[in-house]
Amino acid sequence: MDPLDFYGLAKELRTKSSNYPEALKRTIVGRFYYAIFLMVRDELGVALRGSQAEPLYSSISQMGAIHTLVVDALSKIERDRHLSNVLYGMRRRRDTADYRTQTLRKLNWDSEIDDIVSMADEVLQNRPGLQPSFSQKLFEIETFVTFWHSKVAASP
Amino acid sequence: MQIGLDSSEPRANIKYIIESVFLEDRVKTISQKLDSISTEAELLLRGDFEITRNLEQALNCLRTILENFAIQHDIAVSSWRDPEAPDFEALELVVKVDAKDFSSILRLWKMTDERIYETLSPTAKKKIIVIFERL
Repeated sequence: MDPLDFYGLAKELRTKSSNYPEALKRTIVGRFYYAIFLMVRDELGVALRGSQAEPLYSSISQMGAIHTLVVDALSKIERDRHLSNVLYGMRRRRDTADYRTQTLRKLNWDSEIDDIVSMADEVLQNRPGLQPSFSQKLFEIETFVTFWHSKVAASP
Repeated sequence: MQIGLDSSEPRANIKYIIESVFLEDRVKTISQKLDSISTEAELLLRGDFEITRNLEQALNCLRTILENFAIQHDIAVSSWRDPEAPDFEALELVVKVDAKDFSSILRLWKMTDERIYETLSPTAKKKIIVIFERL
């Protein structure tokens, strides 16, 4: 499945109504995040294909730590440092949407959705450059995936 | 840099004490200029001279930009550990700005990132994460 199907689905969901409006809006925020996170994760996977770090990356890809690893991998690329921060910002909003049922101040979920769409589009616009950027830094990324794997695999 | 407190290293001890005193003052100054700082972030800064110096630099750069554009803002610093990713600790610099549409916030965010990260040390580049949100 193309991760960007989640992007399309999230857009479709925006036009729907529900008996649970806040739950629907929180779900939309989550789907926009996952579309972009999975897209970047897969681009990194393609860049690592055939490398020694590929099996290690495949194994971390199924773990919770992959969210942070992907942000960290983007931050290795000078040109994409901003995208790393944007993806991190998207994750913060997704965490709020998925986990914080009680927030200190009442959030405007329509505005949360508008913001995450802008962030998603910012990363999407830069998609063509992602894989070449990862490939250029392949050695550094391989080393860091190996390091991550040793840490994640060692943790209980 | 970690310096032992072994009594056989008096010079190192003096350096450690001086650095700690200055660091304490520096963290206090930074905290006073922020709208909020979490206890965990303060603790992290108190134990890391390099990150503190770099955060100060990042904040100065950020304030210059925000003041030049006369943008109403709120700056908070907190730290975040991923329970699923051992050893990863981020220092979040959360900048809330007053703007109607998020695309203008994103443009400002991009410009700020470009300026801030070019001055930071490699360790600080990895640890300090700048996030823009609506005020």
